Amino acid sequence: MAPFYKTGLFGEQISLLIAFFLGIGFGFWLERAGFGSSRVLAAQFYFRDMRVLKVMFSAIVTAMVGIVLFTIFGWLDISLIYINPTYLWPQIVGGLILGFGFIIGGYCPGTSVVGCSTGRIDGFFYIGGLMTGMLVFGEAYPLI
Amino acid sequence: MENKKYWDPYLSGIGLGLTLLLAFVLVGRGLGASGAVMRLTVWLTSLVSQAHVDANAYLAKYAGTGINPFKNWLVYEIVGVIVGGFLSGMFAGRLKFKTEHGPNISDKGRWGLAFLGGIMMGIGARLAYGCTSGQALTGGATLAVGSWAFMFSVFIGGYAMAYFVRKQWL
Amino acid sequence: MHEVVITSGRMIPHIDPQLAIWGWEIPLYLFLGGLVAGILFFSTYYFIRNKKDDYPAAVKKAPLLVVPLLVLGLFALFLDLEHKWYVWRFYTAIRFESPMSWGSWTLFFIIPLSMLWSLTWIHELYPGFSRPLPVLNGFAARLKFYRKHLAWSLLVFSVILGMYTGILLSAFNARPFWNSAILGPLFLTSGLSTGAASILLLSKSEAEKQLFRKIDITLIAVELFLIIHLFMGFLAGTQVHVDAALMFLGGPLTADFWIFVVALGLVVPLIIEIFESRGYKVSVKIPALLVLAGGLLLRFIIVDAGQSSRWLYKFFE
Repeated sequence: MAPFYKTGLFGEQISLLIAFFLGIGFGFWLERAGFGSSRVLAAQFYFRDMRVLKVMFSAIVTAMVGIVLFTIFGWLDISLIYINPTYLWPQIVGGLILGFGFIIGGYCPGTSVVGCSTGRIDGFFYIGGLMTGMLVFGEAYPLI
Repeated sequence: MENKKYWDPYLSGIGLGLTLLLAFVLVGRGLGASGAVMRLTVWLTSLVSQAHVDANAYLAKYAGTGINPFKNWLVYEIVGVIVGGFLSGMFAGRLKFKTEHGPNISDKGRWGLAFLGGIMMGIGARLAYGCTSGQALTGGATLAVGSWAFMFSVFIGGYAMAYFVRKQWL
Repeated sequence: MHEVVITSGRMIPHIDPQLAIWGWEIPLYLFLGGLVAGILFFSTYYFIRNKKDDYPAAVKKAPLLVVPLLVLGLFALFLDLEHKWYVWRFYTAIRFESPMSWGSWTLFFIIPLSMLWSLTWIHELYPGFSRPLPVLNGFAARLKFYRKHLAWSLLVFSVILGMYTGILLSAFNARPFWNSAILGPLFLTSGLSTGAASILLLSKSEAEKQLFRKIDITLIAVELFLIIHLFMGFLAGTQVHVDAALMFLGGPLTADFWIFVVALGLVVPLIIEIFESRGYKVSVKIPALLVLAGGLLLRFIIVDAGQSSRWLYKFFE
């Protein structure tokens, strides 16, 4: 019964190997969708091209329907799946800041990696900023 | 528009969704991105000063003495993302060094804004416990309440700020 | 009472159960040895086939790297020696059954020969280099007539060098993971492939790049085949060999080996090179650098795996 890693079908090393292959799939589909390009991503916020919404929505629905079906069939034990815990205010405030960063920077972290791997120079600057921001947050964390 | 070269958004979305579903089925977790970047950041910090990282509990969790920051699921996944993005770009003939921006801004201006946006994104992603991949996509599919709140908040933030940086894109 | 008679490397102290005496020096040396073998092989082979002006990077330019790479490799090897001042003792004996003896004698010949080989090409590529030393100029001019002899002997030695870097490990029967006859050909192929990759990095002619791309594609395919056979051989072997192979099939080296050596060091450059050989422009440097990094990592992982693979020595427990 799935999820196979949690039910002990294979060990940690194989899960890392799977991570790599899933990552290839992730990167591939992001690039196919056009998410390696900051202009395509930004167009969403000017109602020029609703790709981002379409892709995200169909991805979420696909995965969600799959999870629901597999659970109904008894193939998937949903209690073993990691579900993001809710910290409402940090998520809302973080989401707002992230949204500002999205339209200013033109990428989100995952798409900036794809942008870089296809040679987008702004993607490299973006990742530089990303790392700086994370370091700032890490340094400030003990103060909060 | 140049978007014609990309695949149909619904098709790409379904492909992305199936990859995500496979992640749930195989390992019981979703996809992510910002965690791997965080690990790289902390690793670089630990090269400068391991003692500094050890002293900060938040950073030490990732790369304290004796912890290998790269032995992590997300890190291997991101290595895959680089390969997958590269191969897809190669097959489509989209590999090219260039800076993307609208006609009203210079390359350098775009780099500066990309860096600034990156900083905001870095802070936001850490505050929200994840980014668009780890929160919106993964959390959205598992119907996590906080992730849906996060997603709306991202779009509100994006649309609210879009007007002020329109020169960058339009 | 048990009577245990063992004649193997395991009788050396500190061999069982695990070995942890080889750090970064040996794998680096094995990598550089293979790389040098690959460069010299292609250089001498295409010289003998009279292609020196068709493939200038392979025949003339790449060998200029050989001497610095050898010096670096030997320096690493020297650092690893426990008794540094007894190096000369290698040269008091010729022992056909010892890979170390083979290796030290091969190096003994290959170092001066490759110096002469580089000298003759430096002289041709940069005629002005020896202006401060007119003697060298005359010598290099005279050396030109012996290129064919140099090429043939270096061709033979380069193959021996390439093989030996693998056999050095596989002859050591006390370590199950190294104890495979596939390691010699695998390291030779990998060495040739890294050699081809460095020629790709140096080459400026499209025809030459295309040739070495195709050579590299073939070599990578052979390497993948050998790696599969390496594991098939182990899995069909005794329990110790099965255990050794399991380090890569679920054990601690699984992810790093299959991702960084096989996927990034072999399969991805293979895909890119096939794509490029069909006339698409991607990048010459990316696959070449991936092949070089993959070759280096292959040595590191195999040296590491061999040291931690172990025999089940129940009698002693």
